[in-house]
Amino acid sequence: MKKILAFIALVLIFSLIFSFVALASKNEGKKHGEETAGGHEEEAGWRIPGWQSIFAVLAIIYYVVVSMNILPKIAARKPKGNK
Amino acid sequence: MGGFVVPALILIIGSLLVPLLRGTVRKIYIMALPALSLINLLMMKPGAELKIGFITGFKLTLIKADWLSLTVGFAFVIIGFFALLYTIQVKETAHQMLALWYLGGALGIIFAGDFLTLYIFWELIAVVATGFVLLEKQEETRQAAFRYLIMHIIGGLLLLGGIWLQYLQTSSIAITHFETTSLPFWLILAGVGVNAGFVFVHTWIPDTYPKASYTASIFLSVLTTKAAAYVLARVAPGWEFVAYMGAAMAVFGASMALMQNNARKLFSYSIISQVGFMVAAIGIGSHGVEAGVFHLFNNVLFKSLLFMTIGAVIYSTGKENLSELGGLAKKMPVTAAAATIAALSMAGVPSLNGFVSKSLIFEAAHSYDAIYLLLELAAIGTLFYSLKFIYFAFLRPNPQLETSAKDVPLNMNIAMGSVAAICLAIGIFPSIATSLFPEHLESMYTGANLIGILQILIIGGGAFAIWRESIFKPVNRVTYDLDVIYIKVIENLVFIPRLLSDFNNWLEAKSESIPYYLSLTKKPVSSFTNYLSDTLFVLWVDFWLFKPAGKLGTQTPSETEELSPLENKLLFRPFYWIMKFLDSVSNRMSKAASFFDTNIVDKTAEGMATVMFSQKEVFQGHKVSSLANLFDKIVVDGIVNGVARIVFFFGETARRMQTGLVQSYALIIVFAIAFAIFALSIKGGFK
Repeated sequence: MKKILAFIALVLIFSLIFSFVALASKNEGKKHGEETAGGHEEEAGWRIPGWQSIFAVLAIIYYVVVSMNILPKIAARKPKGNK
Repeated sequence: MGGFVVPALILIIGSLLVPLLRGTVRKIYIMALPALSLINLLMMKPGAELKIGFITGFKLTLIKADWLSLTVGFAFVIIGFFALLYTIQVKETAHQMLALWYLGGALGIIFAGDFLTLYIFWELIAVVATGFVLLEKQEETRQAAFRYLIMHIIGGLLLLGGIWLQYLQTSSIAITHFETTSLPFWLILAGVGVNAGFVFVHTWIPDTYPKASYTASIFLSVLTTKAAAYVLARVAPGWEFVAYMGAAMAVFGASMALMQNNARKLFSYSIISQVGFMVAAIGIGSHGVEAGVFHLFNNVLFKSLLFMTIGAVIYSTGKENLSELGGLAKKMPVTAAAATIAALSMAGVPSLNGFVSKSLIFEAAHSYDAIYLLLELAAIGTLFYSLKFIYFAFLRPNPQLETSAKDVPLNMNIAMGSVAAICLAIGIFPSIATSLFPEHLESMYTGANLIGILQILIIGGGAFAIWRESIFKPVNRVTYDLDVIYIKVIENLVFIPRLLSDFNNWLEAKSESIPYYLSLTKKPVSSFTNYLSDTLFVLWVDFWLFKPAGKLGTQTPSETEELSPLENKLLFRPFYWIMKFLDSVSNRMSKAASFFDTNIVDKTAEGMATVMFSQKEVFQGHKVSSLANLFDKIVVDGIVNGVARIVFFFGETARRMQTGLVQSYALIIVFAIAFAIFALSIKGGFK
């Protein structure tokens, strides 16, 4: 339980930090784009600052569920003998 | 010719001297061959072309150089040099020769300017790679090599079919990218897809690579799949299907890799995943092709480095299961450092080459949300299995190995250290690898890119650090793959051949006892069911024997179950269907002749006799009828029985061709190539 809480805390802290940094970077990019080639490509709506952090958590859930639990149950067996 | 020669020939012809040399001279000579190839490539400029007369009036384009072929060619030659340095202590002459042929064959594909040249080298590397796998003389390796060859024969035939149809449609065998969908395109794509490891036809990669010797698997891991990705960049850039297939490969490979315990099997799935990144980028097209090719270049480096490091671990400890490893960083510092650089590069850590090319791929996939997210998901999986390898092989304490492990020879350390240094250098100065690209690539070290990757690295890395000894702990198990699904389906369809066989037996019991070839005309239904049931049975047996579950796909030889003599016999008769096909042809021809005999000849004779009798010219009628009867017996029956006898003879001959020896099948491939050349020559020349 402690580990899960520690992990959630880690995610929240980094999400917060990255959100701020990403927002600052995006604004900087926009300014730079406007100055040079008429602006950056329009970002898709779901790509909010720090979305990678949220996606990383979802990906961790995917791999824990699929690769570490479902796949070993359906696509693996114990080796024979004293292994 | 601008002072250069065919890159493939330097290595292939040069290798012929290897058996005559001994000791240090041989080592120097072997190293000199890829070095010469590198100099040769440096002399070759984009636009260089070399055609040779082949058969009267025909020309093969052995060299057609542009940024794409030169970039991939450099990657292959550089890694070939270091892989040969790494394996220079191997005493087996066959190993060194096969390595040079394999490298030469791959370069032949890269610089081929027409499909026929490409096909010749394509089949060459299939045969050579099979030989490479067979160097490891174990029963399960022999079986894996055989499955490898079968898969590549199927892929090669699809490719050949596509090339042939393309030639018939366009009268050209020049390699060009397909603009519109067509049967030749899909056949070529399927043939290339087998080698690239498209999902569902990828199973030969994790089946074969972990079973080859650790030195052979370095070459295997680099050349075949990357050469196929290169061909995709040539023929199918900008195809949406290819892009989605790449994304599927990336996620599937990462998902399967994470549950592996055997390090080489883990990296085999990683190959599928990383090739998936390249394929997705190529499918996106435009700048995606450049990104994909750049990732190909980088992947050749870090993937071969990973296979080198696990090879060093096997050399040192004799183990490759992560659950049995650990603590090797102290005893093998160079290996550990190289493995860390390679794995982190694969995970896309900034300052390493993988980061630059992956960032370019994400940039190219920016407007394809589904592909973007799938690749992002695969990237996080890559981080997990990379960390899993580093931690469980080198960092986790293992008191036993910490004392018993020994470091590897100097040549292996130099090879690993050099490739790791190149990964780092390209990560910092990407232009080293992209100088030939048509457009200058922008720096990927932007704030947005770094922030994006750092979020994934820190959160993913944090999760691994917290759960490394629980969720991510390697478990010793035998894993299966997707082929189990289609094998299960076929297994469950066995009742169909059985049912047909029973029906056939019932018909047999009712029929007369006559020679087999005559029985075809007498009992067409019976012979048809016989053919169908036999064919389905053989297919079923083949798939059942090739399945990885149980006896195949195991991690240690001790787990392999013995095959019965019957199973062995059937296992090495993949060309059984040739006889069955001829049987089917004879069946149909006999039926047609029988129909002609009964309905045309007999009816005509009867009709004529009736007319004669009706006119009371009995004597004349008898004469005509007897003549018709004679014609029927000698000519028509002669044709029917003659055809049946001839086809039966060929069927028997085809059956005897099934020797079970890989060399024999290799010979068949050579004949297939010869036939392709002959078939193409009939049309009137290459354009």
